[in-house]
Amino acid sequence: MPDPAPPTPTSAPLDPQALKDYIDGLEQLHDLLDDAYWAATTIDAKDAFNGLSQAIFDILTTLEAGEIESATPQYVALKADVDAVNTKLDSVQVQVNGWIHKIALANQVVGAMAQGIALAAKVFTL
Amino acid sequence: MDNRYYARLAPIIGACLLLGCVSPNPAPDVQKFADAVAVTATSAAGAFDAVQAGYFEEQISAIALQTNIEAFNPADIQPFLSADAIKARLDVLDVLKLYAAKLSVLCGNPSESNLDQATDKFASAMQKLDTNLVTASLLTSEKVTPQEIDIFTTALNTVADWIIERKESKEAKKTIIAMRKPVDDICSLLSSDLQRIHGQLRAEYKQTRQNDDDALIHSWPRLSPPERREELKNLEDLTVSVDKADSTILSLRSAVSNLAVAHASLDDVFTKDKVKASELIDDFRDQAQRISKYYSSLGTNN
Repeated sequence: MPDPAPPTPTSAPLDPQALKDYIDGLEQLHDLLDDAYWAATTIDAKDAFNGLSQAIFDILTTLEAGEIESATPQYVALKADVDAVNTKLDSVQVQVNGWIHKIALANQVVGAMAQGIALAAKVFTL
Repeated sequence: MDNRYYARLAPIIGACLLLGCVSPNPAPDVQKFADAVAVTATSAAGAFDAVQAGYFEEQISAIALQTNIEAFNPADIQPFLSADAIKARLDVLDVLKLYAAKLSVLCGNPSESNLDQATDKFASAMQKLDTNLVTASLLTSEKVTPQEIDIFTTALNTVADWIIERKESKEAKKTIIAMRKPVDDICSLLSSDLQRIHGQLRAEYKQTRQNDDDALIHSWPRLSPPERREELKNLEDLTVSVDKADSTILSLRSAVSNLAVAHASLDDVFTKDKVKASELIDDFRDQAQRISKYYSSLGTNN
């Protein structure tokens, strides 16, 4: 007898505390990326920080705009954006120290990037 | 009783009078508090106007960076806060304003000529007002929990009900104590709300300023000196708008917090130990007046 098909996930509100923590973390990262942008001294570094900053700002705007429930088209679209940003955050962490020469700020930025990735995993569980 | 008895009693009576055995008069302090709440509520409208004006400038800057101008539609420029969202916040401040004005009258201060009229208008507005609508317009953030919404709604209804159903009573002090938590809850939520608005606005401004600067860096080699000057000036203007909107919202938030702090000690003005309470009211009043002057100056500068 064939295995029964897995149940289709039904939409449900996201974990409010995890969502709040994620928004707080992204706001902090967005602030730090702005500091990093102004601290960077090359066009490439500024472009990179600006691109990340804009992507995170867009996610924040979507999250602040209203209720998002899991397993909805909006959720799927947002999760794809979050995954793309997380991949980028993951790959640039090793470059941050070369882009800005303020060590304390660079460490803060890298820490906030890692935290953003970790917090996203608690919100987007499906 | 002989005269020696009265002679012995006189210094005690005198000391009692000096130390405040006679009930202090709370009316002037409560009046000052009510005036400061009224000024804060009135200034809030100006604050939101300033935010909208700054945000409009920011939107123009953002649109100027778009490469696909054919898709531009002026209707796409939306205000930072909708008319309903602003009205919800002003309505909440109006509740606090009316509460403070009624409290002042209870303490024996002369009533404003239109206070009864304002109360009637408020009562009929409250009958029509769907509290859920106010709540929905005010608390749209994912960061506000359902529990916070409940606390806020209960607090707002408690104060509003008191305004409408208040009987002629001399128990102003008792009222202040009973309203301490609801007023604190309302101010606390309003303060968080303004902090959230501040954060969103600040993030939006930062992003646009950064985008402007990045675009300027790339176009710099192609610009003539006068064009460079113009671009730099635009960037600086945006920075000024950021700072203005920033201080606008932060000062309003600070006034709301001071309102709660002053109200929490307001019952102390009925006691002889009212120095601290009077100082807090003075601080709140001074700040409310500074904000009012600031918004007035914005109005005359624009």
